[in-house]
Amino acid sequence: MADAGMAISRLAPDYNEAIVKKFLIASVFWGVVAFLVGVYIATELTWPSFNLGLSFLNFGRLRPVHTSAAIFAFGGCALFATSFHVVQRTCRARLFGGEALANFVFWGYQFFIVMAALSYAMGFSQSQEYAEPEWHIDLWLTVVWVCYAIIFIGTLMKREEPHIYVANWFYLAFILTVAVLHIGNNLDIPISVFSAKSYPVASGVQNAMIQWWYGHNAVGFFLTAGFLGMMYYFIPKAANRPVYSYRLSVVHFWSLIFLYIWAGPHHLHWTALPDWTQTLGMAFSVMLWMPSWGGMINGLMTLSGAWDKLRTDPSLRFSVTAVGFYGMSTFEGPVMSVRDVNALSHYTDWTIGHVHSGALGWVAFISFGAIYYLVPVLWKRSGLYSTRLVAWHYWIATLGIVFYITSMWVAGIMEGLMWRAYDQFGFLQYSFAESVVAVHPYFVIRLLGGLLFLGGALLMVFNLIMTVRSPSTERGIVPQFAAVAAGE
Amino acid sequence: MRSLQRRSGDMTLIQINEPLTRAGHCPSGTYRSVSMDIEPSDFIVGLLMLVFGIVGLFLASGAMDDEMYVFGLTLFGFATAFEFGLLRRHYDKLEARRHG
Repeated sequence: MADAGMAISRLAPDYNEAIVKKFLIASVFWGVVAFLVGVYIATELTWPSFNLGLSFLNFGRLRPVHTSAAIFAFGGCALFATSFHVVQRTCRARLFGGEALANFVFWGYQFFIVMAALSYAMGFSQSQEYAEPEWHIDLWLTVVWVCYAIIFIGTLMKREEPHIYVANWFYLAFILTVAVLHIGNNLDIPISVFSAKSYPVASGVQNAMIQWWYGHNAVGFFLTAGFLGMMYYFIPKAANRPVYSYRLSVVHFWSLIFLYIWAGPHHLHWTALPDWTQTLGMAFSVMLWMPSWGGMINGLMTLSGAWDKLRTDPSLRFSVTAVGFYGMSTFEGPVMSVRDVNALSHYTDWTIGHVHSGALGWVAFISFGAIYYLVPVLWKRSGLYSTRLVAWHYWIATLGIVFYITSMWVAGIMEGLMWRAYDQFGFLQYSFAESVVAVHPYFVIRLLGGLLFLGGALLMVFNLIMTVRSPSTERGIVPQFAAVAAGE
Repeated sequence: MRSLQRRSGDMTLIQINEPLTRAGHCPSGTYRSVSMDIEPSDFIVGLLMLVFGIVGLFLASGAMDDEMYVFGLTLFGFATAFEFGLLRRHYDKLEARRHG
């Protein structure tokens, strides 16, 4: 009997689930904030008087609040939560560094989010996309991120499993590369230690190149590699199937991280950047199509023999649809990176549609799938409160994305064509204001799409609260051996 | 003082007080091991937050703009709240072990 007790404690370590729960709650909270601000600024774009003449409600100030809330707050917290869950379970080890360090990473990251949002609303910004926080907030994030890396790498080093599961490779690439990108792109000189204003070390086209080396790899390593880590753990778990090809996952990993880092220059087509650099960025972007689709195929084929689960498990439907959107947006991206396509698409709303097919379809959907899987597991409930509500969330959100991206395709291509049209005398045929008037109906459709997506997220919040609180989801004994049977 | 108490026959009181004053002579040894159990990470993070709190005050004291002033004061408030959280968790754990 005593031996059996020892066996349980050896096989199921005392995981730090409190930190995973905290990040999960934060992710859901910031998700709703991000979608809400997104809907509000979409309203401002449709009817500009919605800024009410207040400086802090201006589109220019709220736009980085929306993007940072979506990427770093919602997506970031989902990545923290899942990486801490996955690394503990697959390494069979409690998080390295103790409770205090993990709590510091959680509260320190929330402090970063709030300070960054507040500074944008107050009008402070580096004016570099996805890197808007000024130097003092960047330094704070660096400290938090280094602590995160220490916890993750420390846990890997004290693992009791000999093998490092592929999801951890993706999470590790995300953590290390984001650290390098963040530091590299924020080498600034403040005008004083007591002033928030700073200037970057590089200037002109060099600054632009460094910015888009960062910017594109923020997409590549924050929004892709990290969430692929999520895909490689939660889809096999939810489907109860092994990864379709472990060999393909390793090839996927190395090819993706090698190619992504070179693709940044495609954001600077037809600029002062040398032609050869633009061509290099374009070529690597087109090559990226292959590893991206390799990953998509691996994710989808993991469901071989378990496709029927899509009928009964709507949360798995989120994950699988996310992989579909990943495939779609990683095809669209290389197409848009071709210089002649980019001549039409750049600076138009096509880019906004492309970003949102990735952000809503891939990032948010794969996160929703993981959240729906994790909440009953972490709160020791028998299951979700309502799978019908999950299905409603799924269809409402999918419809929202479809409205969003199709309206932006039409608006973007229309803008691109109107801006380049000229008459028989060589004059531009349309003024910029005329193109704004032309896309107005599509902005209304985009707003409707955003509202649907927000509505779906609110359904999720209700469902998750009820999952945790409702007596109908209570379960008796926590099945410790279940984890062992699942290979953890 | 001890001998006086012993002479007075108040041995129970001495035995209760002993672990608090002379931890090495604790009858069961449990109180001593619990009270000294501070995790290294609590200590390191606590020190780190102390430094951040002071840095926050320093930044707020000479701030040239609203942003730095708000950031400095909030950093100080954050560090103070975090320190209190560390203390609270430490004593919560202590209580739990004593009663568990």
